[in-house]
Amino acid sequence: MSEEIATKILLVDDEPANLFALQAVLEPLDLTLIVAHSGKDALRCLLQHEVALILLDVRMPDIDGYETAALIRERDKSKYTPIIFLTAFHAEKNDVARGYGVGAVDYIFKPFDADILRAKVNVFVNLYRMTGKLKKQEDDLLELHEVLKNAVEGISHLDADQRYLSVNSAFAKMIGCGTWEINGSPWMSTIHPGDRSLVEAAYRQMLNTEKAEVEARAVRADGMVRYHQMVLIKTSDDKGKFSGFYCFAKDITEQKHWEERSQLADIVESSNDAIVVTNLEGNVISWNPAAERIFGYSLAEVSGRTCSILVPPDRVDELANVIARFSIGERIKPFETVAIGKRGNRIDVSLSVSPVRDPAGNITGASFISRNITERKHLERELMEKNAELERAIRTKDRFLATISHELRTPLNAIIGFTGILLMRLSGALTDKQERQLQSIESSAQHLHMLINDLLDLSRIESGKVKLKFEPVNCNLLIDEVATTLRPLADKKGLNFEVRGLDADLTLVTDQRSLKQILINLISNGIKFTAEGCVNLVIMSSSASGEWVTQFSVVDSGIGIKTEDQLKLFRPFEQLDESVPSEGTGLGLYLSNKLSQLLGGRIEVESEFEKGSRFTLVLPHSPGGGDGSPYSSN
Amino acid sequence: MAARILVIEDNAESLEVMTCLLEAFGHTTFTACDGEQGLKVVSLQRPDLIICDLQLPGMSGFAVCRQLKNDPLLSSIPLVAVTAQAMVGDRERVLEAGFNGYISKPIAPRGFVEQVESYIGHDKDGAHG
Repeated sequence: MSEEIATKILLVDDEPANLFALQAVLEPLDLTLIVAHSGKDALRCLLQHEVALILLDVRMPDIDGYETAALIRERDKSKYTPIIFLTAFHAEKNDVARGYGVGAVDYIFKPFDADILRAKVNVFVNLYRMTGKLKKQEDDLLELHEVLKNAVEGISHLDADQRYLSVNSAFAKMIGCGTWEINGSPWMSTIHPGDRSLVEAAYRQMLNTEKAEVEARAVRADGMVRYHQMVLIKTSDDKGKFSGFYCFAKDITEQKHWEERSQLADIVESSNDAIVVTNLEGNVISWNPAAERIFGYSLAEVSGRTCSILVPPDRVDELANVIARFSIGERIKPFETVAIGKRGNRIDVSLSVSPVRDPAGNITGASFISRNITERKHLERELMEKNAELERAIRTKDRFLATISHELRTPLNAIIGFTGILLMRLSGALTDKQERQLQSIESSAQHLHMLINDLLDLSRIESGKVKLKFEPVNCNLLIDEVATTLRPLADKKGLNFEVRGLDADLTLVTDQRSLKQILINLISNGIKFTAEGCVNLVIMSSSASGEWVTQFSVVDSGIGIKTEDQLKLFRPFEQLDESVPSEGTGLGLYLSNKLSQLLGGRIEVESEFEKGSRFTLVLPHSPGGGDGSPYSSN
Repeated sequence: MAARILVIEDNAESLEVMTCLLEAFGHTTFTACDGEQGLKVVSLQRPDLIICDLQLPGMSGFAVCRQLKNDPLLSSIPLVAVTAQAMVGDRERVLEAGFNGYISKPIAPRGFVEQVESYIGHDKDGAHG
């Protein structure tokens, strides 16, 4: 061990043989042996070396052992160094007393026993070493105590129940109370409630791993909140049982604030919105890159200048109003306004203004956050213009249609009116030929009339202007009307026309006019395309998985439709076979299909070429019909 | 039951169609080709029924209707609009304005007189047309 090598003892004897003997005896003890041949020599050696023990011969020429010992004792450095006198066995009792008087701790009588000498020397060397160790520990402790007492870091010692045992002055200062006041209070009372679970987690980690670190808010005695960086170190008692912990705390509030400020600064720098801070007079204090991008001025150009350079002349009052409002602490929610850029360009912005306060809470200025909405405004204006244009176009079209309708009907009225008068023989008798020709005029005029009606319907449906009136409709009455209208047509062609499956109580919530129009169209189509046989209207209500539907099927024994043509049926102006004479407008099915969709239903087609067709209007029941059943209770 | 019927219509052909049909069924007709004239005839003749076009030169059919219906002596005379304004909603607009009936053009010659007759003796009836 290094300490043992360093341990020195001093051997003092005028007889070289004696010194030699001593060295030989003490050699196994592994000490550094310093030899002196006289008292003076010994004193000189002690100036250079700190020794654990001095073996001093009593009888020496010049100054003897007693005088030497007395001189050694006079020196501070060697005042307590143990001295063992070496003397002849027959020494006088007085001499021994004198030796103890000058500071000897022991006597060894010559000729000495080697084992006893070694044993005694060992005792003193050990004592010296122990004393040295203790001294060092004491010095260390004193030093540590000084360090802890004066540490900048707050140090607290807490027990296993998280209660303060002791704290250093730095910690007491950090937490804002006296060093003794806090002892015994719970640790968590000094931790911000919002961070307690965080701190508890660190505490549990410390229990597992001896040490843990955590950043948390601490609450001072005066209620102020500070950020602490804490290191927790677990302590154990001498049996190794958990006894508590140390908490080393450092106040990092400033650092935190700086970090927050720098984060804020980053946000301001990278924002797409112009963020401008002014003082109470409206002079620019800060100006972010987005402000430069949007308004065109660099920070150097605007710094210290009034922000009114951004305000158009017609909005000066607005700025004055804004300054007046933030000056009394009001926040101004985003509002749309106009700014003037460096090039004199007008910029649409959405602006919000908040007062800026100093740490004492006094309003020192305002932050203006402006979002460039020029493009959005431009699009909005464009959209509005387009909308207005569209509305104008729609109004023009509606007026046009109404005019066309009126202008077509007026001459048609004369044609149909006079033809009717002639055919009614109100103007006299007619020849057969005249009658045939007049009938031809009449049916052509009726066709024209239908065409006008269909075209107007089509225009209304396509522009989404159809107003449907959903109400309970008694199908019995409606179908009666339809049948009365169409039966003469069927009779004229010698066709059998029947209505089947109609329940007297069938009431549907639907638009009466549309339903009637669809049925008339389907049945008249059936009559039109059937040369002989029958055209029947078959009605059937059924429910599948709770959903009621009513089917109106028009079944004819007519010419039928080829499969490849069935898809063309619902296109406008589609006449399947140009060779088949038809008085239809080519719009009927197209309109009926559109109307059925408006009613929430559809039209289905089944047909076999040259055998007949079945057109079915499928209507769902609106929930307005009570239980969904198509039959009304009354 | 022959009735005395006034027809206010600026279109000569339409006017002739209507008077011809009405007279053929035994009714007496008076004619006027604008609103002002029509109102004069009404106060002079006190007809049993008035047929009135809507688009007339000067005073419109609606204005004629307002005048007639605001006059306690004349408001009970049935007033029927016969018009080429036959877009969706026109019928409702006409009946709301105070007309007792609405017939769209082109008229159906065989049913026209019957339709007109149905308004005589009724104050309000919009179920025909």
